Amino acid sequence: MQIKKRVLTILSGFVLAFAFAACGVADDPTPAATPTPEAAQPAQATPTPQPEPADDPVDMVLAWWGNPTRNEQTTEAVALFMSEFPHVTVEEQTVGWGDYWALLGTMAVGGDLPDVIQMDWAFLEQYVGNNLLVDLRPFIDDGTIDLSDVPQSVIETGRIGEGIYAVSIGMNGASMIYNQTLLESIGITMSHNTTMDEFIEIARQVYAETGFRTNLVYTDPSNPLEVHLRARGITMLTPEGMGGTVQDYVDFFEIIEMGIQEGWHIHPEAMVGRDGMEQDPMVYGGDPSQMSWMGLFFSNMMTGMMNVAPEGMQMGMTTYPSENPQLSNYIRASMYFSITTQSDNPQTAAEFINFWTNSIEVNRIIMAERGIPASAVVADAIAPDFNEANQIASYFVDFVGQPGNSTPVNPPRPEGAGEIVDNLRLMMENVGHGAMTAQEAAEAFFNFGNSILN
Amino acid sequence: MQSNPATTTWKNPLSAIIAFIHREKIAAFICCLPFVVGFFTFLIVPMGMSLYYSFTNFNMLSPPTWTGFDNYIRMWNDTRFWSSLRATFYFAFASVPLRLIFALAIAMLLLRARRLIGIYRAMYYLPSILGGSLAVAILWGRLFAINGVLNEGILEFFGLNRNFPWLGNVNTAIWTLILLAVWQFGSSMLIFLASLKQIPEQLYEASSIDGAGKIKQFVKITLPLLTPTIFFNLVMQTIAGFLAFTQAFVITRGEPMDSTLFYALYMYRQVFDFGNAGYGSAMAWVMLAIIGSMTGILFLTRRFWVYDGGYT
Amino acid sequence: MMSAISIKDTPKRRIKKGTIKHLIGQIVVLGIGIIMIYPLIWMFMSSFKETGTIFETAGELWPRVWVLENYFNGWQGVSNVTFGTFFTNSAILSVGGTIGAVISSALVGYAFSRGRFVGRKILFALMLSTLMLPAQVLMVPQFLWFNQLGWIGTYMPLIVPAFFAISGFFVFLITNFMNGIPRELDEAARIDGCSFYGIFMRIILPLSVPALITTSLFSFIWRWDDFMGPLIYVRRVAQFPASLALRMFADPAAATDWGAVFAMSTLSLVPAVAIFIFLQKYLVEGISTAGLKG
Repeated sequence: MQIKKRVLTILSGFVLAFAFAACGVADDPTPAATPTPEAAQPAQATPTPQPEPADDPVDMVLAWWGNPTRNEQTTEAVALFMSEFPHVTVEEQTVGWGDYWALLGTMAVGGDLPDVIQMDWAFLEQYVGNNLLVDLRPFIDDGTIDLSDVPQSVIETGRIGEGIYAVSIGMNGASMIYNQTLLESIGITMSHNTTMDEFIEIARQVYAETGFRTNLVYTDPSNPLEVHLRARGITMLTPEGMGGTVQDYVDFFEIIEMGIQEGWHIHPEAMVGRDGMEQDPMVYGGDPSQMSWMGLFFSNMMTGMMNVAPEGMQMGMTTYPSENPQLSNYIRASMYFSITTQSDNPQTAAEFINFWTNSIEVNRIIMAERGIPASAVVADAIAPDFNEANQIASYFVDFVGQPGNSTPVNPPRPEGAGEIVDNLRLMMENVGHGAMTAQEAAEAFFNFGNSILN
Repeated sequence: MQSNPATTTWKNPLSAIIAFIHREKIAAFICCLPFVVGFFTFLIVPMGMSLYYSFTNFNMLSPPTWTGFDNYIRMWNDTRFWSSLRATFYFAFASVPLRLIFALAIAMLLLRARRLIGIYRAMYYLPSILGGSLAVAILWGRLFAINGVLNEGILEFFGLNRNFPWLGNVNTAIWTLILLAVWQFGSSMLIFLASLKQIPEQLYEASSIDGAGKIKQFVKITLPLLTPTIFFNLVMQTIAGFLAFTQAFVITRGEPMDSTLFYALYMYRQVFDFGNAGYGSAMAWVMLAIIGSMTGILFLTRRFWVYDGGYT
Repeated sequence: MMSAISIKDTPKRRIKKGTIKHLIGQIVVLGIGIIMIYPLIWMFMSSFKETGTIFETAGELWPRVWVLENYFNGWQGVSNVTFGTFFTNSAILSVGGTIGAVISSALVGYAFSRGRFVGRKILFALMLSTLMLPAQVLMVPQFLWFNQLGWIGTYMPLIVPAFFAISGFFVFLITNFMNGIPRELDEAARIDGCSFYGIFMRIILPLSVPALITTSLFSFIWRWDDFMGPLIYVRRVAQFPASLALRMFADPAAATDWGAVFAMSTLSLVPAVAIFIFLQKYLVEGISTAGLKG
């Protein structure tokens, strides 16, 4: 009856009245009214390890963001897992980084997250905060996920509060990749822990002598800025607000502004519409003015860059430039596997993660494409088979990992970081186009970040 | 089966029901029922829900919390919201008139061409049929990329600067999208072609006897008689222009400097990239209000320039 | 309409001037036409070039070497799902939605055209208003609503609404067409004992076939092209339609095989082009009749 009445009300045009009547979920304390009842359950409640009979068929979904190389390797590794665990069928879900998080977001809303998801450090906090990830400690404690070969510092990268919500499946470091061939042609040798001032001198020289520009911020400005702030002991994004003062940000923005004005920094115009690594300005562009002699990446991306580099181009890897590289350098988990609270078979999911972490065969397939394997035993076992890119990345991680060459990675980014980082990209564009001064853009960004975080 | 409901005896409930649903007015309403149900279920209910969510902070993962008018206030202070509005208006107000002008011009040309009309019509209409596809959006991005077809193929051929960043320049990026919209003028052209064919030839003859030239004929006869068609196209395409999404999503992703951050794209990003479903809902309502008032304004201007007098 | 004097009777213009003008007109029309379809031809040709040479030889239309490997590589798809699956998914979505749109729009169009019931005018106005209330405004609200219904991750949000005639364009088109069918035919059938439904099935529906074909063709093409709907509602890669798969295929964060992208793009255009070539008449008539009113 009530519904009929409502229908009539609607048809008479009182849409408003209905909207409040039917959707008063805010005042409704029953969990049925929440969009995802699963998500509302405490995360700790889910993983009660229940050993399943080995022959009971189990379906499991694995999601990752990837690229063609990674996808092929992962499929091969998953096939290996399925041959070892014949009762398990693994369904694969893969899209590119750009679509991955929107896709997972809608899955989460629909209560349909995959069992195991490839997790990124930047999103870990938000996923845990919304009770989407399972605390893995029970599985680690009972040995289902055996992390005895994984250094404690690496295990800790998956910790949020009390719980361990993610297992690292590879280590990498923030690293600069540069065009060694080009630098050698003008007699420049890069050395590790180059400071920002030295770097700017090199950038000027390269631009003056070859016309090649420098790309500090127009691939992803958030990592370079974070590195700049780390050198001052500041964490950029904290749940309480933006770290440091406006001046700390202005200083970095001014470097970019100067670079654009002097010409040695690539113009943001040259960056729009580039699709994929093979169109990175390091390897693609009309002429040197639209190309860069370096790029800021993570060490495991060396494989990809070498694949797309033109023949004869040698590439080198070193640390990000900053005021104090020894303080700003860091090693982190390049990516993790996590089990979601929406998984039907957390036990199988845990077995999968264990297999991935400790199987030398699996890691022989994927090598260091996702970063140097977290397990020291596995890493040592496959190291002799590393190709050139893996060797460079491995050497780099070893170097940065030495005491005194780095400090611990920042805590995961808080909720809202996605929008803030996107705003940073916009502000950097504004500086590049001369629509804002470094001062204005840095202030706008700083205030915007605070308005989101508070 | 009872053919005359008036004489039905109501003893058998089934036949009574059958008779009832065969009463003409009831039958017509039953036929209309899919629409009534669909309109209510898929339009009214979601819109009602979103109106509620627009007053909440809602990330879709946790229950919404009531925040009153915060989302609307935030929109007012959100510079990117204003950028998106600007980009959208720019796009709509540039692409719609250009598209109509092209459509009309080519339709006039085709009116004369008789021999190859089928082939011409196909050439011009094909982009309209394929233009909405993702394949074309991807292709368009490649046409204007730095190493794309325009720079590498055409401009280089003429020895011109072949490094212009069409998609990266703040002034040209949106024009690549406008061009894509104008490129699909074929369906409007067909509508004009059909309307033009209905204009009686005698009107032109009479006026040429009066000494009117081609241009005067166009202004005095053709254009006024086409105004109803132009009006209809203007309304529908302006609305469509406000809703541009896929092309910007695929080709420029809103860059550079938010110059192609169309409203629908920003709304999508707020909801699905940034997790602000409450804010996105508020944006949807503001968009509805904008489209409603734009349409209203167009209808208000109607009596000043649309000729409804028929052909005599 | 006055058409007593046909075009042939117009006074002959001076032939020479007319011919030159005519020629110039033809050249202009043809020239613009070629520019219009050049990008499409370029993509088609590029799909047969070796993938590494596509942008180096962007200025050359004709492939130096004709290769088919782009089609084989592209067909492999992403995430172990081939384009065979993606195209099948597109077909399921397009055909399913089209069936729904045609059936429901025909029924509702009939009710609006012939029915006399309370609220008809209001409903018709509401239907017209949906013409001006397109998908993007509803994107967020509908997503949240379909989520409540538990439809996220299924094809339901993409197919079920079509069965409820909420596309104003099709209802409008069909209503207009049915209004053009003489009412005397209804009367004759009614005298023969046909009910309201009988008239629909026996008289109106068969006579409306052209409008129904037009509706199905547009519906099919639009649904085949639909990108935003699947982007929001479909999550499993194995359920992706071709439009979404193409986007994933040309993913910004990964190295892109442009030859394969163009090959699959070309294939994805085949249905629309086929419809265009063989059934263009219905599209043109649909556009002209629906567009003229207003």
